[in-house]
Parts: sequence; C-alpha cells; structure tokens
Amino acid sequence: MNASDDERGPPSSDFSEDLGERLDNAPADERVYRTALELNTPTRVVEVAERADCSKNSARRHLRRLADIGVLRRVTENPETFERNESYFEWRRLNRLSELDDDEYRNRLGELLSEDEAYRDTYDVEKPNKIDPLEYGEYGDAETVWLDLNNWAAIRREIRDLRRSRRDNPVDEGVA
Amino acid sequence: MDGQRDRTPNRALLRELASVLASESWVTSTTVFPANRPDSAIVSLERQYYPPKYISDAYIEVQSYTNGDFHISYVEDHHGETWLCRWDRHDSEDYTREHFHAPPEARHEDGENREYPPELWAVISRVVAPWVYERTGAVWDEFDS
Repeated sequence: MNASDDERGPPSSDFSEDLGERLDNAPADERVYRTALELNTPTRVVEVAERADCSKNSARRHLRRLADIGVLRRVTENPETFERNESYFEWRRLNRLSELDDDEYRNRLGELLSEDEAYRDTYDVEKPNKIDPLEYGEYGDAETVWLDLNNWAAIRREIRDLRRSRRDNPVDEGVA
Repeated sequence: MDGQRDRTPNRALLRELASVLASESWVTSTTVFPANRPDSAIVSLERQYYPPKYISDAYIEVQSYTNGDFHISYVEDHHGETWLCRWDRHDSEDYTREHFHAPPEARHEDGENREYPPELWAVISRVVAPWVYERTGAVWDEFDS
C-alpha cells in the first residue's frame, strides 16, 4: 500500500447534510432563481415562497425581476402566476452555440459526428427512430436501450442546432 | 419507459446544479453537456472515498427536462465493470412516475416505486446525496473487510 492509499477511506462526516444546509442558507434571490428554473407550469407566488423558503413579498419581488429580464413569463396578474419563458432559454442556447469560435465549433461538431457514427454502427440503422420501441428488448434491457437511443437523439439534435447556429456564417466543417 | 423523444433538457438548471455541486467536498469536478452525453451534467466523485483496488471511478449523471422528467444515475467503475442505479421521474408502463432502478444493473425489471420531493434540488440533496454518503461507507464494508 502506498502513501496515497493510506489517505483513502470513507468520508469523515455526512456531506449530504452540508449540501442541504448550503442550499437552505443561500441568499433569497438565489433560492428563488433555483426554484424559478423548475416552474414548468404557471405557479403562484405563495407556492414559490414556500418552495424557496422565503417571504411572499421577497418571492414576488424576485419573480418580477426574473420576468423583467425574460427568464420567466407572468401568466396571470390576479392572482399573479409565473412560469419559465421557454423562448428565452431557447434563445440563450442558440446564442451560446453561435458564440463558439471556429475551432470550438469544429471540435464540438467533429466529436458529435463521431458519436453519431458510433451509434449508427452499434444499432445498424441511420437514426434512433428507425428502431421500433417493441424491438428495444432485442438489443438488451429495453429501458437501458431507450435511454441510450435518447442520448443518440440528443447528439443528433445538437448537431442540427450547431449547424443551424452557423447557417449565416458557414465554416468548413472538415467532416462529411 | 414511454417517455417522449422530444423532451427539452433543462440546461439552465443543469448548469446551475453543476456550478453548485462543483464546490462540494465530495465532488472533484463537474462537466455539463459533454459531446458523448449532450443532455447531461456529469458530477465526478471524490476517489479517496473508494477502495482503489475495487472501484476505480464513481460519478453521478443528471438529466433533467422541462416537463419535469429526470434521470439521475449513480455509476461506479469496478475496473471495467459498471455498477449502477438510477432515480427516475418519467411515465412508465410498469411503475409510478417516480421510481428507482436498483443496483447493480439498474435494469427495467429492477424498478421500485418511490416518491420524491418536487424540486430537483431537493431530490439531489435529500435523496441522492444521502444515498451516496451511505454508499461511500458501505463500499469499505463490502470490499475491504
């Protein structure tokens, strides 16, 4: 056994408690923001206050600010409800992709294309939706295969979005 | 596993989660959206909590979608052999929307119905992190006694 192995062992204290405390003790605006990222349906201020563990007034102030900058959408006014503004998040994603410099773009696209190719070899089809869900079991555990095909679909979506982000500004991709 | 293929990843949430977890003592690093897992945040776990002879690597993979679905996998690399389990929220023919796929393989048939807190933050801090803490103790009993 070498010296570094001697240092190995179970954690000395329960790190999950520390994480819980850290999240609970974050400033109210951060707690409301974290809650806001999961507002998938119109949600009332009082519920956000409960989830973020802050006062209703504080929740309302931070929610309105997030709506002002576009993260949230105010759905109804009385009572006030908020939900994620999906078009903002979509814009933010495409903006990030379009800000990659040429090298970053080529590297990312090259990696994604080679992942896509590996999947085509593995499943022997051109794209994930060519496999009938009833046949997933032929490739292994059906749910694991489903998740794997989801990942393949995500790779293809990212390739499409990356290329779309450069439509007006094409660079040589170097890969077919 | 009737999930839709067109779910949108909650990327802003995954970025925020990765940035919070990156400064945890039990986490060595976090990566968002690597090219081989473009919908996921990967949270690498402190290796010194694992007996190196048996477990070479451990990480958590988090996928979260804007319809509320999530998949949170805990994965150990036993020098080439994978040991894993998964906390899930998605529609399923055989389980409730919230369920757990037990280790070592997290197969569909290893599912158990569960109930989780509504927010991903609470699922991570109250369900997954305590489980990982227990596991980092259990591996020493299991492998090193």
